Amino acid sequence: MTDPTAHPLVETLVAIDGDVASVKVRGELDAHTVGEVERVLTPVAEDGPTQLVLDVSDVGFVDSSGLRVLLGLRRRLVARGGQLRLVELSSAFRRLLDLTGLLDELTGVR
Amino acid sequence: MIQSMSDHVASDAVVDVQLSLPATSSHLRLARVMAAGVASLGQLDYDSVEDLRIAVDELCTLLVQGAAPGGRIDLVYRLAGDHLEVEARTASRAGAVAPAVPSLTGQILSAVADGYELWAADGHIGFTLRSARWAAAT
Repeated sequence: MTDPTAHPLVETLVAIDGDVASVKVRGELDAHTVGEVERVLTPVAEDGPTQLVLDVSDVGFVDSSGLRVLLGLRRRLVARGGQLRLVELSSAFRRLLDLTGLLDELTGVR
Repeated sequence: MIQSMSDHVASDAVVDVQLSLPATSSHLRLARVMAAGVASLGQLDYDSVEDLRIAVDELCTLLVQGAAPGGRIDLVYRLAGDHLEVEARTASRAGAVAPAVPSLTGQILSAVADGYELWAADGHIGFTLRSARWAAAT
């Protein structure tokens, strides 16, 4: 893993292997912290591998701010013919995606 | 929606907790922590606590965006009988204009809250969250 961030409430680790970027996010994704995740991952989505796999098993909280950033990253990747896929979702994360109708979109089902 | 697993707090009990925070996004987490703490007094199930945390976070985020620079958000978490209510207010940067609710935020709030109201009056903006409600103690 490379590119650890120093934000105390969120940490984003990126490992690149060919056309796949494997990302581990730890912490809570809200209006305060999500900018740091966006700062790290936007260059990857715009110029890096087109397949972005986010392990969110250690994300303890996510709100609409976090979902908007994830949707923005996905939009950038799809524009390049790529894909964003969340994996290892906690039950709370999965439930929020289910409630908002974003589960399939952000887990790579479509 | 929010439901309790038991009658940890008697139906006639009243818990009233006040919290004052700087109106910045870096303090949102404290509003969520307090919400979970008050919810625990009612022994809410996991999903119900999550609903409350999300609802408080989304509404406080709207207040932060509309707050006057240097302002504070004053919250009251009230557990009474068979319902839980959260009220919050802060000085507004834009006068008597209630915060607009983005579509995704509204979608989330409608899913996790039984009811909420955003208001603007007297140079302040605020919300009342009535969603944190559970079945009467049995």
